[in-house]
Amino acid sequence: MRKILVLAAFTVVFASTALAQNGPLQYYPLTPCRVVDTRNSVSTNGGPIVGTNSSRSFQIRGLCGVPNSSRAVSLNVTVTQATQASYLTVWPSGLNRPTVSMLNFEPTDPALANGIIVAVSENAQDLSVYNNFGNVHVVIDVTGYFQ
Amino acid sequence: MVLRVLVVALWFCSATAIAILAEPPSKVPPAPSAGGNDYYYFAGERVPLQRSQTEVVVRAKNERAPHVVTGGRGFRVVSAGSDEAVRQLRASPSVDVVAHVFEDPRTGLRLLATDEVLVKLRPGGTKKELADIAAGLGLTIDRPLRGTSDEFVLRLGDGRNGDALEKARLLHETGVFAWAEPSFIRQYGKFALPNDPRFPQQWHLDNSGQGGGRANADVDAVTAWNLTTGHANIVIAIVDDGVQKTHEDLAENIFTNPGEIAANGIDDDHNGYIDDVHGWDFSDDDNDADPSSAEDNHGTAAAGVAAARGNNATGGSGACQSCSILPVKIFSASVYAGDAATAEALRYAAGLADILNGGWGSGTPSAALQSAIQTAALTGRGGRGAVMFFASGNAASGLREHVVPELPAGTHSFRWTYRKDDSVRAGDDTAWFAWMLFPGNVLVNFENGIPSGWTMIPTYTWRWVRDPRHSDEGRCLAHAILPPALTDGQSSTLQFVKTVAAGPFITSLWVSSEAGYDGVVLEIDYGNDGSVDYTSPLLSGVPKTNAGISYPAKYPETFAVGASSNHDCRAAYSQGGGELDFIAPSSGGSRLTLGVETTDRKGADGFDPGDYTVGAGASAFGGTSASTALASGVAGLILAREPGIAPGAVRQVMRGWADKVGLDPYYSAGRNDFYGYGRLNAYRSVLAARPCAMITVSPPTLPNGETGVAYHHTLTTTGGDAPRIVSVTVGSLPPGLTLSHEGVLSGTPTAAGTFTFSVTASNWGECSGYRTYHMVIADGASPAGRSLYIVTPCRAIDSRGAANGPALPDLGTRDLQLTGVCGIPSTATAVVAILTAVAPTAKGTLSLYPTGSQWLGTSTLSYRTGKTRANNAIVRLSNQGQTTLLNKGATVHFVIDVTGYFE
Repeated sequence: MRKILVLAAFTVVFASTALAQNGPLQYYPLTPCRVVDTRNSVSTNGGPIVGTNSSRSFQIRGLCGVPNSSRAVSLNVTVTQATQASYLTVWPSGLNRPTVSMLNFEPTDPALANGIIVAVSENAQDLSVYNNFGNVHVVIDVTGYFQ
Repeated sequence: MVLRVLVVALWFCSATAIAILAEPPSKVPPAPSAGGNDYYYFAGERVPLQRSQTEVVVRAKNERAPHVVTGGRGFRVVSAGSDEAVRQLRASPSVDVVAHVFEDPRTGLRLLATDEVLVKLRPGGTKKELADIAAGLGLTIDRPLRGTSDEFVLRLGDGRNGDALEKARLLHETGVFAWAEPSFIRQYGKFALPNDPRFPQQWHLDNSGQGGGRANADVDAVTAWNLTTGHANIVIAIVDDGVQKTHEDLAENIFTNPGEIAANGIDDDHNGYIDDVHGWDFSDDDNDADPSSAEDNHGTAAAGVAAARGNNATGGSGACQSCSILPVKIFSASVYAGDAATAEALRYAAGLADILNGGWGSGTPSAALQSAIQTAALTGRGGRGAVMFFASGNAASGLREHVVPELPAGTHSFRWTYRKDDSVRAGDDTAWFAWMLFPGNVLVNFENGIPSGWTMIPTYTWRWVRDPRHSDEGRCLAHAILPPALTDGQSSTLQFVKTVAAGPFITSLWVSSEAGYDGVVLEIDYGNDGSVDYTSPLLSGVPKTNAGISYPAKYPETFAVGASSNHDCRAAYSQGGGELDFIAPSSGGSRLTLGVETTDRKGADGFDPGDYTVGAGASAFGGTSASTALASGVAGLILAREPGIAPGAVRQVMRGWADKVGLDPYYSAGRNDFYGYGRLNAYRSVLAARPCAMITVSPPTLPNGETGVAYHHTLTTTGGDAPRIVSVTVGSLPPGLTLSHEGVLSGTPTAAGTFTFSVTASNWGECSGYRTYHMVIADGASPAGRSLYIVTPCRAIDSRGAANGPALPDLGTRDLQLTGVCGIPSTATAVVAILTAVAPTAKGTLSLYPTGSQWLGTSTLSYRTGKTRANNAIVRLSNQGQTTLLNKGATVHFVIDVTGYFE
């Protein structure tokens, strides 16, 4: 078998050319762990709901067993209580928001999820999430990390 | 001739000493006091007295023993209704002292003048100076008051003709002395109301609603005892009549003077009292402070409320279970005590005790008593100051109970009539009705107005008022009814018909009217047939009530304690005023309330035929005395817990943590005149007595852990009293870890994640401190980094097939083997998968997690009614290559396809 790093079948975001050169990386699986839930009371990884055309930045490294040395994480991102048809963008914080969509959803969806692998930055709040229209709650479970 | 007979008779019927006081003659108004000279000075103000025109106080020569203390033996009140009788008494060779009898016009309590005057030097004043001035007034220095060096007892040179009041006034007016006053033998009210294994009956300590009372109308003693049950080092002086040292529930707590050797005739500790091993009797000036007459019942009961031995399987419990009791006897066979002896008794008590308890008082102040109290407040407890509790007094209410002993069963007509004659009015000229109790304990009160069907004749309207002061406040009744204002010669009747069982009919009412002429009469027509079968006598007169605080409770150095009931309202009799500190449980003042159970003189002696008073019985102990003793016991707990506390701080915590009970609003300062700062709460005041030490939980952070790896770390606590108990109060520990009360955090974490929790350390809920921890449990089973291997997309699991079926129900889980299929080797730690929910019938979620690990509330796929939906996931496997699928929502089929794996 060839020992190569492939990110096929996953939406992978590298928002800058610098990050695109980050590799190769090894994968460390985790017991799935809920790290963000905007339905909780207001805090870094809690509320409030993500509004129209706005972004939130969350902390992933240092929580749920994800070490500070990790470069990318394997996530399951779920939206719920959406008020408009919209999409989410997820990218490493501190960089310009890339024009990509990770999850497209409608208000008629009770909840909708997508599994993604995404890089994290070295900021304390290392992962940014953008919502295009309306309000939507965002829930993120982490299933592993790369370093 | 007349005189000789009189005197001889007196000396022989005097077995009970001065208790043979003649009753004042009735129907003869007291003569105005002669010339307005009947007063003494207190704090520069005149205290007016009223001189008896019919009696004098005398002492026979042969009764003057060298060390007789004023107030004990020797003085007699005798009838002497004319100047001539007094002159003959003064001429009698067998008589040593003839002095006047006075009355406090406000309270009616008497003061007997003697041949003694008390005086205190100003700072720098000399005994020589005093002797010179005294000699000029015909006085000699008898002795210094024991316990002082600048207060003296002076004696009239001519006890038969001298006037101690006049000499005291002249001494005061010289301006040379701090104060000078006659040494009275003062009449006190003993503020008991004997309305005449036991702890379950001691509702004042722990009220569960005994006798129909209100649960928790108590001092919370049981919770206070968690903090302390007292200590033998804390000594409570029962300044009262005798205390029975051998009572089974007191004996263990009776104070023994460590500095005195019993019965050696020597004052070993040099405190001025020889062989005072267990207190002193100031009425007889000897070391036997036990009760000595049929009337010495009060001290034994008060001692039991304060400090009967607790937890000894005997009797009941005092508020302070283990405090010591110092008997200091000032009364003997009477309610009279001499000022010099009482002042010495207070000084003596403060020399040995921490707490002084007095369930007695009068309406008149004394500089000598206040001086002793001030000294105790400054020098007691080795300079920290004695804590002194005195009763506010029992004379606030004029309520009385009228009893018709036996009504026949039937339907009767009852008529209460207020009747006025055509002249003088007195008092309030009315009668308040608080309640009526019919046979079978059928109570009618007036909280909701005059009962329907009750009529008035003629149609003058009876009034319904909110007036707790004139109702049965101890039963928490705030309302009363009373007749309309009537003019001379009028009457008004309240009438009602009621069907009753056979038994007594009792009415609680307060009449204030011209005695013998105006007042109320009850008539009952049995069977309501038009004939009156029962007529009460005229209930009339103005009761002696006193709403102010008595002395010594009124002095600023002392606590003034009033009484509350087992319904948690002020007892109607409990005197209030600006000096009232708080109220504490006692008898409620009527048969609708309970009294207090406590120690009683053994056997037939005392209030009760047995060894204890009975709360629900006629022998119950009560009054502001019982409240005061309870407060003294609680103070004993406070001092046992915080020995260095200053009297002012004791006052602060007892006031500040009292419960705001009762029928009156509390004003901005947190008090009112009838409840003070509220009803004493032992637990909260004992708790507050010690400033709360901050307890610190260490270390500031905890080391992180890993799943599957044993964890052991000890939290430590510092500050406050041990034992300190730690527990998790907010959040929860990582699964698999436990925290012992001693602070050991141990176990093997079963789940990864970040866990936030707060650990609180406390001692008996008294003081506490906490720290919040964020603890990361890493996935200890996580292998080293793995690389990705790609496989041809392959269906690994399909619940529609036999191997992994059937469909998964709501809340169902299924373990799925993902190695050994689709070319995935057993060494794979995770697979790259696509999870699909097939045509669900309702919305829901599917979650994948490693088999054997804990589900941490995550989800992998959210599905929607009728829609087949898929999602990508990298799925971690157990060491056996398994994942567990959890379903929440509808019964659903599922499919897992794989495209790669990590190893």
